[in-house]
Amino acid sequence: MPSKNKLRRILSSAWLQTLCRLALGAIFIYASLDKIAHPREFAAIIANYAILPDFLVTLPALVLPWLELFAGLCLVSGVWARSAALWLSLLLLLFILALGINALRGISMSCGCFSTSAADTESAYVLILRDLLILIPGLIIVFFGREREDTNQVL
Amino acid sequence: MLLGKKHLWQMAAMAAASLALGLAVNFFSAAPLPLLRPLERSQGAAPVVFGEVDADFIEQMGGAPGSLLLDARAAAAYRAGHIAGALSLPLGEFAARFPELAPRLRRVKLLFVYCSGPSCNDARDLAGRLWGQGLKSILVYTGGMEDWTGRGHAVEK
Repeated sequence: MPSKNKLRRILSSAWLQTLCRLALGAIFIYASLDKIAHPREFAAIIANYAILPDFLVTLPALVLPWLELFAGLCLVSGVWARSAALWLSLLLLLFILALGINALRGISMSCGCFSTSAADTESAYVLILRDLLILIPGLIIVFFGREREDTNQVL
Repeated sequence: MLLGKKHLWQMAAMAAASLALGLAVNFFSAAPLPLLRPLERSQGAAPVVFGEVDADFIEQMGGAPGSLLLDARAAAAYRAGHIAGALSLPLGEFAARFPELAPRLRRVKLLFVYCSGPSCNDARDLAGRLWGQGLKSILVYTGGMEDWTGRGHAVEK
């Protein structure tokens, strides 16, 4: 089908891939900084999600922001981009799941998405929608991104 | 192949680097977080500790004149069912909703707040916000909706 090939060509085009990499990378680098600076507040936010048992909230609070930062830097620099995009897509799915669980339970908590401020409280459905939007560039990179090594082989 | 072993290695490397750096930064920080231990309750919780009541108390006092029940859950959860007579004041919409409710809340002698169940903090946080607005005599129904429906009490829609 020619239209399908055309779509694939657009999705795997260099400019769209670069755009997705830079956008997704920048979002997560920005999101990681405040959480790296305030691990204690971030741990309290994770505890408020009331999903993990209390003794397990500090570990993700310490590690997740760094993973967001590393993966974001990988995306922006183009090194290990697809692996980084897959990590961030998995994280986004995890966030969507956590928000969804609490939306169904009727718990409204501060999100801990971009800051550790308690004022970062929005409707869980809006947040889920936002995460789904951010997931799009991630999936475009995972499924249609080309590796630097592959292009080398072609040349 | 979409993703190979190489990608799994790269992802593992990113995770390992995050784990190592996260733990190292915490280890050398001025106030390290306890690993595998719960945070002290004061962390992120309301500064004031409120009295707690159970379902029997709510049943006897909830509808009494001068008392008022407040539902701290999201508006959609309130619409799906709440304790009879309760007003909705979602924690997430506190700043927007409080002003219109304030005159009524200030006339009340005893306020009960609740959220979805024993594991949610919204009721306590809402009590803290109300306290911050100068309201007194606030009690938290810790069991919340989960306890209320579990005991077979009536739910209003």
